[in-house]
Amino acid sequence: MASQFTKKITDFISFNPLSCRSGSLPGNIVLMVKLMVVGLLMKEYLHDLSDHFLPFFPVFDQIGSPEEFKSILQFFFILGSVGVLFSRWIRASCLILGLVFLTAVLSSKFHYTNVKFFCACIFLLTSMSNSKDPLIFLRFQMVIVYLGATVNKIFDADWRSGQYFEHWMSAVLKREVYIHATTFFPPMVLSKIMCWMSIFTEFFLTIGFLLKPLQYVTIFVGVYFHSMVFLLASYDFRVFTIAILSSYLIIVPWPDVLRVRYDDNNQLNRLLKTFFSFVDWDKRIEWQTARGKWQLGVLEQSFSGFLAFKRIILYSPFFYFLYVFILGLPNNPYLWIKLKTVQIILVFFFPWPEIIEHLKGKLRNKK
Amino acid sequence: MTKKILHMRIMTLFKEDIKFLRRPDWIKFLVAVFFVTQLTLIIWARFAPERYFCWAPHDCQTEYELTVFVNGKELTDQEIIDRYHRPRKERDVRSPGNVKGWIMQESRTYSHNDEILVIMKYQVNGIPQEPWIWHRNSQKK
Repeated sequence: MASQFTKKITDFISFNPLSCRSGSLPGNIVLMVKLMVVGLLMKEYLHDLSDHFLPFFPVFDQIGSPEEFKSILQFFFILGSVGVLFSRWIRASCLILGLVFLTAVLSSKFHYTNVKFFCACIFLLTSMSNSKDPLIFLRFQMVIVYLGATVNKIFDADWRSGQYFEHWMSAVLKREVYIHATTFFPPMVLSKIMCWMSIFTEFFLTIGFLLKPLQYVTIFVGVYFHSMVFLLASYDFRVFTIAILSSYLIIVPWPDVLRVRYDDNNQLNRLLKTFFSFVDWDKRIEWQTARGKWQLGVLEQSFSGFLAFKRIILYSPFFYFLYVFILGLPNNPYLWIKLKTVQIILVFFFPWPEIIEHLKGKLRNKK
Repeated sequence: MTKKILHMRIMTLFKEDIKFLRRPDWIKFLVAVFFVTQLTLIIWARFAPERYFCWAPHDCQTEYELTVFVNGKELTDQEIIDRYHRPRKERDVRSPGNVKGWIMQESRTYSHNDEILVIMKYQVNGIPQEPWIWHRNSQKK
């Protein structure tokens, strides 16, 4: 009883912004909103909140001067961000942030951007979610996002013909690599392929967010798709890449406990254990000593060696914060660091070992 | 028989979701309205020149150049920025309908006493379009 009381007090006074434990929301959702807030702050959205210029509803023109209006939005943005980062009344803070972004979007057609509306939707729907029920609201929102993107592209003649991509890559972004690659194809063919690949990928992601059995493939396809767009364009669309990648945490099964067996006699194992214990702010990892390779037991699955190591990283909020911190850096002069990091992440987390294991299993069954 | 199997498959796939949705409350109602609105706007955007709330990020590259006459006098580059918060010549990732919408709404809302003539030369995804010419008389009585 006393220890429970102490734990409650400790939880209450824990102001660690990197901690993702919350009674009201699952860990993956807390992590998602925190990453989005970090991204928004790093990308200076505080200054980008709109004054009311050309609003969707004339009523916004009556609410004070543009400067006063913007200051009010900024105040609530800071309030909501502090609440989310320090896990204080996290759902209420998400509601505040959602309303701030919705108001910012509605109060100015001119400052309307899809990413602001996306953030508004995610924060609002997070405030309406909880740790007991399935995250159906957030999943459906992602379905609508990708459905809208698919419908818009498929009904656009410039997307169907490849004209959009050809112009974007050659005239707008002037990507030498892409211009060179087009010389190996008949005119417009490569652009057409790229456009149709985007359409099919977004359509697959629509289905992927709807059907639970496809969740792992959806995460893989979605994360690689958005990362490849970032690499190809060498541009992160401000907070869009961070926000959309963070939103895949919605369908990541998030374990409360990670059971890790490591070899205490191995120096590298001990070193890694020390490091992972240090960054395990929520004390989710249960360490056990054993001989041989690393082993991880999580969500009724077990992994060993490199696979276990990869999974521990994937379930550690610390690495997500680090990744978002790097992506949040300004393009000038850090673009090369961001591009290299994304490339390393894509290569490191490509499921080669899983594919090899799968093929080995198939071969064994044939024999 | 096939119908029954299909029904069973759907029930297994969405078991948790269906269980959750069977308990109606006002939050679910609000969220449903929110989703239906978004779906409607996705369809609406197919028929409207302006595209908002339809999840079309970076789906269009519009390059435009404005020439604006207010009460017969041509606006300078700075005057265009002051009026529309946009430079005379720009590349935008939104539909040309959005740019036209801003210009029309600005004159309706903030400068309805002016006589305005706007000529917008523009291209969409690199393809030149017919210039858009818009004239509005002063609303002063």
